[in-house]
Amino acid sequence: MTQYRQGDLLIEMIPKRTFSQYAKRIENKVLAFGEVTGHSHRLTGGELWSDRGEMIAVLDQPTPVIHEEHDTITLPEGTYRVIRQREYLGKDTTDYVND
Amino acid sequence: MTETFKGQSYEIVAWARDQRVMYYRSFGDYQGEWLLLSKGERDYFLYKGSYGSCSGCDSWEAWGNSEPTKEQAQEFVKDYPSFAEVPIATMQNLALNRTIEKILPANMRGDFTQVGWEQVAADWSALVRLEESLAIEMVDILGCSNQETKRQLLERFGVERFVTESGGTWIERQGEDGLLSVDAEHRFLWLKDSSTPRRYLLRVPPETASVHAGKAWSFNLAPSHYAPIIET
Repeated sequence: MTQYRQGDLLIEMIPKRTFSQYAKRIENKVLAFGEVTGHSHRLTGGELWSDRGEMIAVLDQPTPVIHEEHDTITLPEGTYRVIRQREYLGKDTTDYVND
Repeated sequence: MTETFKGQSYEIVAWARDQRVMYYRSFGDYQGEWLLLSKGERDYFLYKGSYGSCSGCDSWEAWGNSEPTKEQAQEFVKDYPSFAEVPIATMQNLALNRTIEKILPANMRGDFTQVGWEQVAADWSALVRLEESLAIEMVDILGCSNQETKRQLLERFGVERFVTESGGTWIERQGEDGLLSVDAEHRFLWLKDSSTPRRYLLRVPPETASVHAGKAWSFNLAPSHYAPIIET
């Protein structure tokens, strides 16, 4: 599956999918937010959903993903899962990368 | 032109009081706690609260005012007094002694289960050392989990000094990236950001064998499955 990387996010195209009853639409379309920098990765269109721990973007047209410091990536129409980068913390524990 | 709030949800409790946000993080998925560290003219401020996934269980969502003015914000944050106020000099001592975790009462230090309060306190200690121009030591870099803070720590400390003093050895150098082994527990990817001149140190499991395998692991993928066509 085609993958795009913007900083600490990997965005991977996946087959179209149906959402569970627990899916929640993320209205501000923020894919990830920096706890210290305050910067964010943000979709400029389409729909963003959180469903059972997965973040899914549904785009019906080419859609830019923007960030204050990273170059913009324009995603083709399609369905995508968003994977946040993680870091090892020792003792087999991990945490999402935060900046 | 009237100034309006542009930040992230409960960061507003600091913005409304003209304090600078040093750290803001929510702990949980659909619901959970949030934690905020801010700095005013004479003190650091700790705020904590809870959030939910709907307007019925989350004050910020219920309010529905995405760009409030300062006056509106000051009214909203009356329900969010600071949990602790720490004079700057005291915070400096806490950071130097790495005892920031004592800001919270002992019976509250088990919260923030994604990373644990100890990790948050270690990150805050590093943040305060940078903010107050205090000495940076190897343990600050090794113990810090925030990428931007760690990058600034390394910038101050010096990468060559870090490699030398840690006794680290390069397992692989691949262009501008590398895999560094410091000891049996600490192995790091040394990465160049695609869009900026910045470089980052990302901790990976000690058994990581290559730069590519480390990058794939960091996105929870097998090395054979990691192949982004665009990186920025």
